[in-house]
Amino acid sequence: MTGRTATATRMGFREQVRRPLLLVLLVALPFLFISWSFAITEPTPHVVTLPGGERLLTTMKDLHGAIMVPITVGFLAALIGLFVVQSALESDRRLVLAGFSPGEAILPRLVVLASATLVVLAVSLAVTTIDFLPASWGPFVLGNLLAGLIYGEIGALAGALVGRLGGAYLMFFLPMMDIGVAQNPMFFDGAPQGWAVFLPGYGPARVIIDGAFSNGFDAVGPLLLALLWIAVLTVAVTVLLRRSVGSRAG
Amino acid sequence: MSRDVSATAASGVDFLREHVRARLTLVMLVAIPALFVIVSASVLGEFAAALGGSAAGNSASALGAGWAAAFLAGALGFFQVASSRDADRRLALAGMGATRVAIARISASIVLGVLISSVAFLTLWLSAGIVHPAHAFAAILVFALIYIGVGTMVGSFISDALEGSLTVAFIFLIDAFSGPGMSDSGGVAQLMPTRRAADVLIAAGSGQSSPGGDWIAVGITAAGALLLSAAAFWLSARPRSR
Repeated sequence: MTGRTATATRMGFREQVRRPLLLVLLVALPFLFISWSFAITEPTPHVVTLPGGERLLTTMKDLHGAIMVPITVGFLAALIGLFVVQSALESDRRLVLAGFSPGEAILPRLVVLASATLVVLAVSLAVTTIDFLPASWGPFVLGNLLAGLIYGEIGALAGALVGRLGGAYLMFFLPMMDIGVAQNPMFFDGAPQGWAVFLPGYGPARVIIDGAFSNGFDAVGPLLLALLWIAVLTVAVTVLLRRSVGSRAG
Repeated sequence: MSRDVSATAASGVDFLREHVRARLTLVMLVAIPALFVIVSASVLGEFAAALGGSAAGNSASALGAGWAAAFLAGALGFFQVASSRDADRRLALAGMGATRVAIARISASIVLGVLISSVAFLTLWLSAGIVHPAHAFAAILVFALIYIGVGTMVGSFISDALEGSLTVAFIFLIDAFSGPGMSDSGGVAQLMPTRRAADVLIAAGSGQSSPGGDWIAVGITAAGALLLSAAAFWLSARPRSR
């Protein structure tokens, strides 16, 4: 990281820290959503299908708590990605005019986005441990991180492609419908339906369910799929933002 | 007097035109409630049962239509105000006055809220069939009106897009999770903004009429939300003495 990129990154963090309501919301929302989900869900028995094909009897309460983590992380990361990128586009164009390369202007935004996702993830996981301990921490944390990064990048793409309002409509809807409904093992007899595999939340959600309820790891395919989503989205975000901050600068 | 009214109406139409010209946003405003109602219809009954609620079948589907209208209207109300704060203050300063700007801005949101509600209602009607369609439409519209009020109030006090969106989402999710049919919680849940509208919507979904008292409460809540939002907007847009 060059000196000026480090400076831009530091300024990006300072900008976020100076918004106290944002920090409160980033901590309060995961706390409330997840702890409330545990509190209001009945412990009725429910069968879940694990990625390895094993059918396991658990409770709606545990399932809701486990799936609420990626819903929360994905939703918040998507909105952060949307608005961090959207609000930065204009100033980043000026940075490029002032001599930054497009890559140097974009990198700090992506670092801020990834860091905010990590904060939300850490709070969400900490809250979850009050009521639920996953069988395998590694896949559970990894799956949630992947959900956050994927939706953070989708939010960034939406910010650059469809603007604030259109992006907000989309990010209010997509993570809820994808992770909250299509991938949610509380529905559809405990396993996502066939079409759910085409949605971005499929890979992370299957890795999370595996980590939540299995001591082994049988979600290699979903993990690779999630990594593929990350790779494609990272390329798309980088290309689009480079073009966006560079095109009007010339 | 009539000149005031026509100026306010003209501004409202202009605000509406601003929104209609963003074609992609308009497409989402139509597509998202329809998709939400279709996708959520199959799972909301199960979800309600998991939370110990009673909504099932068409009642749960109807509730999904109300939620779709609410969260889009909340985002719409917030951005109508937050993204045009400076322009609205200038309009108020230039002679239009904060009251007329508020009326024009909220009226434009209400027209778009009617559009969102109509799409959600039609999707519900076509996919699930509703015994009391007029009741269902009125209740869905009230969800939208209440959240236009919530979004406008949030936008009047919070200008940052991320903070404001999160605040609207926060209010919506608390409201939705604690609403009737989703949990049997009393106490604070009774005070949630769409509580009575959800009662009416669930009743319409299950083929029952609602008592007059519920309709009065629904009307008061919607009118109160819009009046409060107009007051909040006026406070934020009024000219300040230096």
